[in-house]
This record gives sequence, structure tokens and C-alpha cells, in this order.
Amino acid sequence: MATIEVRGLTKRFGRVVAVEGLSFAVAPGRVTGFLGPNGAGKTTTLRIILGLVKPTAGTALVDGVPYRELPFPKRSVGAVLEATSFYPSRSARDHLRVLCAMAGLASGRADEVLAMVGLTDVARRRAGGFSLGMRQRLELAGALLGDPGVLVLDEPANGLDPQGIAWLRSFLRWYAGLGRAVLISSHLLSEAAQTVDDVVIVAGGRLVASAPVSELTGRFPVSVRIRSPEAQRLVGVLSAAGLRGHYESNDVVVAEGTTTEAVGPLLAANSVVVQEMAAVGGTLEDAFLALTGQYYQLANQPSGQYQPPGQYQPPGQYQPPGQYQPPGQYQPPGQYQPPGQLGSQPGRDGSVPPSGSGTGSVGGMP
Amino acid sequence: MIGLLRAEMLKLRTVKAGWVLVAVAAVIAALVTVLFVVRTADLGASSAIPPLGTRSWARLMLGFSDIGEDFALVLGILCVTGEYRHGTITSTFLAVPKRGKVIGAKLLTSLGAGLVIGAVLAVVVMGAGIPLAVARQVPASSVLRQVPAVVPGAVVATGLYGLYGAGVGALVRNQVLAIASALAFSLVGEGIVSLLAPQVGRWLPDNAAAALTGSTPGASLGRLHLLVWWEGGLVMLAYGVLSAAVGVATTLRADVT
Ligand SMILES: Nc1ncnc2c1ncn2[C@@H]1O[C@H](COP(=O)(O)OP(=O)(O)O)[C@@H](O)[C@H]1O
Ligand SMILES: [Mg+2]
Repeated sequence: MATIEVRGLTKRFGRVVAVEGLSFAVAPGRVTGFLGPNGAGKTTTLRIILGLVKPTAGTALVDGVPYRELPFPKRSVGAVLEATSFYPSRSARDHLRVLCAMAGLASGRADEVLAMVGLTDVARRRAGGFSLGMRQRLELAGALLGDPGVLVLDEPANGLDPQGIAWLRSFLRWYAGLGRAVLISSHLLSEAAQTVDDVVIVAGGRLVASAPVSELTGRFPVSVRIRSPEAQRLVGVLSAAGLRGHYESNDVVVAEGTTTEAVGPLLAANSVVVQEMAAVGGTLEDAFLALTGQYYQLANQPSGQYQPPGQYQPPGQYQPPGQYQPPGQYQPPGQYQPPGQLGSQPGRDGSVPPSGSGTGSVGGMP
Repeated sequence: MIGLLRAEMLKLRTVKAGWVLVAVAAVIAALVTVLFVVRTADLGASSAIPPLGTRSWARLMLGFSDIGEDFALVLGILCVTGEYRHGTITSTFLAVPKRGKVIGAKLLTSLGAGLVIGAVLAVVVMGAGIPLAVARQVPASSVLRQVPAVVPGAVVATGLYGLYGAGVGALVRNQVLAIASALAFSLVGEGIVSLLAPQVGRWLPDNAAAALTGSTPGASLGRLHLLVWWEGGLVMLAYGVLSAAVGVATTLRADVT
């Protein structure tokens, strides 16, 4: 019941392999973050999904068919891409009316979407004079024309001010709440983390992970905080196991880059008395860094007051957690119910996106 | 397809350069016509121009209705390449992912725009030329009698030039390159070919269009035999459709990144 399904996608530009063997799916009713560093292949993948770029191998389906075979593409998918632009002397309204005519939509829809994104006042002004933020809104308006079941946005936060980002975030959450699928790409993980339900992480054109945010962050607590009356012996055991960390206080040690599942048995085997143990951290960023192997240099950022009994020496190299298995196929979360009226005439009932201080819940983050 | 045509017409209407082109063509046509009538009246029988009021004089004057051909050509090129130049091609292909369909609509729209330019210029030429001729004792009826032989052909030729321009634009996505090469070929290249190889020259766009209007632009140079009018029309149509088809199969298939 996925609305976007990418299977075995590969794209080469000459010698550059932009995307390689990428597979993932996007579920309706959720905001999916398509995350990865610059050059990871996000834009290329989105453009393949939208029929603008031809894959070297593999398929990308929207509602079960390639984009180019959709009977009414604008009613199925709305897209906001980077580096698109407007005919400079054409007004915002005319730009949208042209799109309406091409998509076979009533031209009155142009004014409706202008109101949705708050551009009614400047509707008759030439788009060439718009600020970056206004352009983004106009792009979004164009994407919303067909009241699509899938919304795709490439780096939508680029060029937006903090209020614009907050507005967009609540808008996207509202839109997903209507039962639509929302796919947004971003290279800013902390930014995306506050918006998305699911993540698809790519690096170097390959899939790194694809899962709900909560599951992913739960899988990678980056450190384990342990309170023990025999802290020095504890540190010895951790060091012997190749784990590094720091003292938070005289009886609290934080072992970094590990999980409670790994530390628990280790301490039990060495009969270390533990009074308290908890996983700390586990943000999306931590998970991402762990997954892509771009782990930060902990030595540079000692936290807390490091106490003199300093025989806990950080070992040289960080070892990525060994137990991570690259996910094969994305499993849509079980509790998803297909939205009943999707595609009939949703959103035309005068419902208005949330404004400013979001009513939409901020997804998934501790 | 109807919606797509409406969209293309809306786009063209909101392109400033289009209006400028039509206005410049109209002004040039008016100036040329006025000069032509006034000068032949002044020169009398001594010039190479047929005497005022004769059948061939009337046909020459009405033939200025085809001055808009190269303007229609440029407009057709703008219709396709403008989308690449301004980056609107992305949203166009998102709305209509079947690229051949987009180009089909652009061919028809450019044909329509060319016909409009041709019609506007015909009105301008007749509106400026006939009253001036009448003021010089030429009966209006003697000019009007030649209208069916010249004006419809000129309007159709201008329309087909629009379509040909869209075809060129589909083939050469770069706007400046497309306009420069099409104009250079139309204004200079064809004349040279016609001179050196009249048998080839008669099949080139300008001479094919001349077959439609009955005028002889490059032909007077090389004394070449023009095609029959309907042959000329079909050849023009073929240039537009074939270059568009090749464009769709090659340049337009490329990734939009
Ligand atoms: N049109 C193109 N020609 C050549 N290389 C390209 C082209 N588009 C993208 N690439 C390359 O493909 C890789 C992925 O790029 P992109 O999809 O834009 O990544 P992202 O959007 O994640 O930053 C990069 O190495 C980029 O240089
Ligand atoms: Mg990108």
C-alpha cells in the first residue's frame, strides 16, 4: 500500500554513480525524511521518481505505475524541487493558471492554493521579483494544485527563515495527517528529525537505513550511562573491552558508542556492581552518524568534569557497533490504515493548514 | 490536449518578447509598404519596380504580408527554448510527463501564433498600402483583386514558419544558438545554397514558403523554379514536424537535472 516504491534504482552520469541499488518505500499518512549528506543521490532519486531523469537500472513507481504513465500526474504527485524557476515576468497567479491548464484542473484552483500558502496578496505580482521564501511558497502552491496524494519536496528548508521552516513543518504534518504521503529530502538531520515519522538514509548513493525514526534512534543509543560504587574497576572492564568514555562524576561513567545490550552482559561477566544503567543520546543524528560511519571525534569534546583518577584511557579508534544489520526491505508500520477518502475529494472542504505555532504533533523525537 | 493548448497559449500571451516581436514586425511591414508605394509613385516607369497600379505591382506590395516569417520563426523557437532557459521545463514536464505531447502542443501553438502574425501583417500592409495607392489614382479594386492570390499564402507561410521554429527549438535547446543559426540560415545560408544549387535551393524553407506566397525572395538571385504552392506548404510542414520529431527522440529525451 505504498504510494512511492523504489526498487533496485541505479543511476550513472557518465562515470559518476549517483544512485546504486536503492530500494525503499514511502507510506501514506506519514512524513518520510530522505536523508543523507550532500551528493548522496537524493535529488537524483527524487527526479527519477518524478520521471525527469531516466534510471540506468531499476524502477520507481508512484501509486503502482511509473510517473510518466500516471493518467493525471498533478493529482497523484505534487513536487517542490530545487532549482526550478518561474518565467520572470509572469505573475504568480498566471504561473499557477498555466499549470492548471496543463494538468487539466479548473483555473480557480490557482487562487485556492495561493490562499493556502498565504500568497493571495501578491498573486498578481511578477514572480521574478519574489524573495526566496515566497518562491518556495509559490512552488509549494504549484505542487498542491492537484490536491495530490503524494507530496515530494527536495531540501524544502533551504532558503527559508526560521518562521518559514516552522510553518512548513506544521504544514507538512497537517498534510500527512490527511492521509497523504509526504517525502522530504534533507541533508540537515537535526532539522528533519523534528518533522519526520520515517527515515530513509542514503550515503554515496546507497541505502543505509530505512525505518521509523523511533525504531532507528532506539537501535542506536550512542552511549550508556552507568552508576557504580566501583567506578574505577568498571572503567577498567570497559577499557579492556575496547570501549571509550568519560566520567560524569566520581561514581558515574558514560561509555560511548555502545548499547545497554552490549554493556549489560559485559558487566555481569565481570561481576561489576551496577546501581543504575541507562541508554543516553539516541538522536537521529547520532544514529545517522553511526550508520554512515562518520562518527564524531569524542576526544575533542569532553563533557562533564573529568576527575583525576584518570586511568580510563580512550582507546584509539572508534569501532562502529557491530550488531547493526543493514535493513533489507522496508516494512510499513503495521498499524497503518489506508485513508478511506484519498483521491475522492479530500481537502476541498475548506480545511485550512495549521498556522504558525503548530497544532500538529512533532513526530517521534524524545 | 485542449487544456495543454490553452496552457501554451496562456504562456505565449504572458511572454513579453512575443508582443515585442509582433509589434516590431508590424512597424517594419508598415514602413516598407509606405516606402514602396511612395517610391514607385516617385520613380515612375524608370525603375526596376513594375509600374504603379499594375497586377504585378499589386502582388509585390501585398507580398510584404510575409515579412513576419522570420519573426514567427523566432517566436516558435522561444516557445520551446524559453522553457529550458527559464527552468520552467521542469514544472511543465511534471504536469505533462509525455514530452512528445508537450512538443505537439507547442507546434500547434506556434503555428497559431504564426498565423496571427501573418494575419496582423496582412491587415497592416493592406491598411497602409491601399489608401496610399488610391490617393495616387490606383483603383482599390485592382489591388483587392490580387489579394486572394497573395495574402492567404503569406499568412499560411508565416504560420508554418512558426511551426518550423518550434521544431528547431525542439532540436536545439539552447535559445541563442537556435535563433542565431535559424536566422543565419534563413537570411544568408539559403540564398547561397539557392545560388550554387538551385535544384536543392527550391526545397529550402524560404523558397518553399515563397512558393506559397508567389513572391520570389531568394529566387530572383538564382532564377530557380519554385515548387507548386501546395508542395511548398507541405515541405514547410515537414521541416517543422520532422525537426520536432528528431528533437523529441534526441535532445528532449535527455534528463532534466
Ligand atoms: N546531471 C549530472 N551530471 C553529472 N553528475 C551528476 C548530475 N547530477 C548529479 N550528479 C552527481 O551525482 C551525485 C548525486 O547528486 P545529487 O543527487 O544531487 O545528490 P544530493 O541531492 O543528495 O546532494 C553527485 O556526485 C553529483 O555530482
Ligand atoms: Mg540535492
